Amino acid sequence: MAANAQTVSNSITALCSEPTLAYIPAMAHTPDDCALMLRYRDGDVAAFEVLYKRHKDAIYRYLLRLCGHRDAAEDIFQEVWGNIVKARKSYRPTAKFTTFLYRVAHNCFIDHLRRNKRHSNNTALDPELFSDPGETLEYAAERALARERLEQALKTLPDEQRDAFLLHEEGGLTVDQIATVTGCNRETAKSRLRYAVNKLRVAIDEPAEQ
Amino acid sequence: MMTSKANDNDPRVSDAYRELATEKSPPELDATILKMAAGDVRTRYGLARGWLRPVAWAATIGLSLAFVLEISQYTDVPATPELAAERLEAAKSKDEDLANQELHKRSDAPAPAKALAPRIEGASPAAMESAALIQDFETDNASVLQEAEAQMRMDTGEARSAASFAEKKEWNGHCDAVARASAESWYECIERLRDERLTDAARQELDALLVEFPDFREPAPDR
Repeated sequence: MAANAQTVSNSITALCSEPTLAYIPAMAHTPDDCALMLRYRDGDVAAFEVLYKRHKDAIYRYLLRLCGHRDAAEDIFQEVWGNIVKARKSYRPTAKFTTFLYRVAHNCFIDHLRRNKRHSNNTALDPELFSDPGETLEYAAERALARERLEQALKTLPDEQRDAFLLHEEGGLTVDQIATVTGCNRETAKSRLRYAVNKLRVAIDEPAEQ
Repeated sequence: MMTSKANDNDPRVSDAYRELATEKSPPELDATILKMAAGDVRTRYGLARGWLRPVAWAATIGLSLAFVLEISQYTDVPATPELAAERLEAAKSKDEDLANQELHKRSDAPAPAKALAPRIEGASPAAMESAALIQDFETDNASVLQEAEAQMRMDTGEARSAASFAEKKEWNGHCDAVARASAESWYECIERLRDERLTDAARQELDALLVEFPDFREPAPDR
């Protein structure tokens, strides 16, 4: 009995550990996502603010790349966090919070696709998305070319592959977690991610070879 | 051949994407969502306040009413010490009346014998002394006894006699000074007492009449 309890405790501890995102600075001595969500469930609004600030930009970019339209991305973004807020009462730390969060985001995006049949694969990102007023002309030109190439490459990716790539890059999800979020098996998720990375790498290398 | 891990995590692709993906969520959207999150939490406590507020009002009104009712019970309290003293005196006299009434009840059975004792000729000196003591007691408490008798009559249904007694309360069970002004009027008063069956009081008044007017001769009763 005690051994089972210890196992469950260890599982929850493992689930609630911080995601290993390379681009997010290590936050030692900060509460993990599960603890923050549990605190928010108990009425601690400040815990939600920490949680939100930790994930909001990644989720926003994920939705922005998936949708390709700022307005739609913002609508879905708001819907995602609304669902998180609503789900706080029934929240249980049975999985990593990032898995839970990106699953909600993925489902909201799928619902958005169903609601808006006009969405197609050739989504075009708004040009103003990439404008940065502080950069020089040359650097801006280079970056614009790189963005253009990556944009084209991302645009040519099938939705499932783009989804898998964005979940991996923005959410820091593993193949297993991507499979959980997208509702497919591990091999399918791994295959989608591999194809996406390969296509993007080829797209990045192509201009250099030319 | 590239490994699966290398295929899944190409640093160049990641770097290129990280360089590209620098967008941040709009601040107005952040404010909206944080407000929504805080509002949802507040709503939970707001629901609690939803029934707490009427309950608090009801409790306040109930307590206020109880307080007013409690205060209104003290409005009979006399405002001045003189009034308080008067009421205290009245209460005292009432208590004394009740005590005398009780005493009279206890001595109710032997009372006729006591009343007759002085009239018994040839009684023993001890019996005479007892009769004198009883006489003194009855004299002192004549009015009280009369009231007690009237009360007893009222209890036994003699409402008429009790009503007359209520009239006599004006002169406290005895003939007043006007009645005592002449032997005739005094005797009329005694007759009234007899009519009211206040025999003891009538006898006392007759004794006093004879003392005051020694020449007075009581008319013979009508046959």
